[in-house]
Amino acid sequence: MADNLEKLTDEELAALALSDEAAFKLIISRYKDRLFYYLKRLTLLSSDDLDDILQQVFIKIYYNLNGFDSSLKFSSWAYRIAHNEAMNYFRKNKVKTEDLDKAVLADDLSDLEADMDRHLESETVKLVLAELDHKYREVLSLKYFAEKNYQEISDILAKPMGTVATLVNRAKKQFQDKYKIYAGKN
Amino acid sequence: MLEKIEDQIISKIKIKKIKPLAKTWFSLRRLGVWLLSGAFIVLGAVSIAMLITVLRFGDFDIYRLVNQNLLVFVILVFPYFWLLLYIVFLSFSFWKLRRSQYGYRYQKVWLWLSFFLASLVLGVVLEGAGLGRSIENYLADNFSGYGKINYMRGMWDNPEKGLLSGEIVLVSENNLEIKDFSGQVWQVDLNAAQVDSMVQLSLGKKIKLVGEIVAPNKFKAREVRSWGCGCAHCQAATSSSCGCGESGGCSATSCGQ
Repeated sequence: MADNLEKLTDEELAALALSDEAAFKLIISRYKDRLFYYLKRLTLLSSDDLDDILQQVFIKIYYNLNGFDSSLKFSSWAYRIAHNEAMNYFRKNKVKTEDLDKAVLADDLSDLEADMDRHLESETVKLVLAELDHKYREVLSLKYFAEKNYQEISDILAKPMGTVATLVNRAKKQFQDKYKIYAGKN
Repeated sequence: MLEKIEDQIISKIKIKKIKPLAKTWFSLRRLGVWLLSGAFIVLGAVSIAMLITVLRFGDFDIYRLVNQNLLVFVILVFPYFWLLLYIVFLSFSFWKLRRSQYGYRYQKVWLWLSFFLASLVLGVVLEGAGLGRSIENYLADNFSGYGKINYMRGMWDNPEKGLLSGEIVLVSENNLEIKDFSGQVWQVDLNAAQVDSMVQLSLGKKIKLVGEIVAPNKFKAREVRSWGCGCAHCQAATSSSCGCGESGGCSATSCGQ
């Protein structure tokens, strides 16, 4: 049975998860790491705090399963719920993204970037990413870490594709500017 | 760290007895967004109908009594209130749809353009059907402050400039008394006045007068006009098309007020 489930796509699992606990468990296991690191990069919170948010994200996914529209990729839908939950957390706790501890991000990126190419592993890149505005960090994180295309990022952030493209370009520009400053210092 | 998260989540769902929301709830929510957005477009269309009505039935012919310059007069009497309301309703409609689940997929320009065209076409149809006149007359009859937001009405409270309006409180052969909207009673001489066919000179009716002050609280009228715009009750734009005052047409008592 478990083997059969493994073969199913996310979208098929989502349809099955309404009545099958094992299917929903499999969705969690497929997405827990991806969403955990996405939330980590987005919120810069500690792992303990993130666990609570992540649980909330999966509960919301379950609660809204009937609202999943197959015109969207399941992963985009799940990331969007995670994005919204992170924004709710910011609002509830009145967190200004500028106040976030950038050092936490730099540390946390170390875990994540272990498997990334060498370019992304450099200390400078980590520091520069931590320095970026939250909205720019998020699009770069989705594009280069989560490897989402523009359409998927558009669906996750609920922003038009043109806006996403602009955000990515500005994010790259800000990254390059800050990178030059850091590179110059070292 | 994350090993047991699946079990934790499943047990939380069971403990809190969380059930997925019904499919119909999501369908109704989507329908609600479209209906609300559509309702704002209809309200925008009503504003357009009002805007057209004010401009179409405005008393532009007497602009010299208010201002020598026609352009200045148009700027003075332009129905900004309805234009503002139109922009507000259209913005609400746009905002509601853009904030919907897939609203971000629609291009802003096309969304604005389609909302604009839809409300404009509907507004023209509603105006043609007489809705603008009905609302305009209702507001003018029932809200004393309406002249403040529609200067095409408000300018008739200007006896020094020869424009007077009010409710008839006494009628005699060639004279009548009217109470203006500030409560002042005026004796009106109608001897040299041309009375519009849509006007009914009877107690309680509201009229507009063009003329001049000849003594304190005495006004000599050159022209008597209907307070209502168009012929709202029989849904016709002019007295001739309405048949006001003519036999067989809509009765004089239902026209002009």
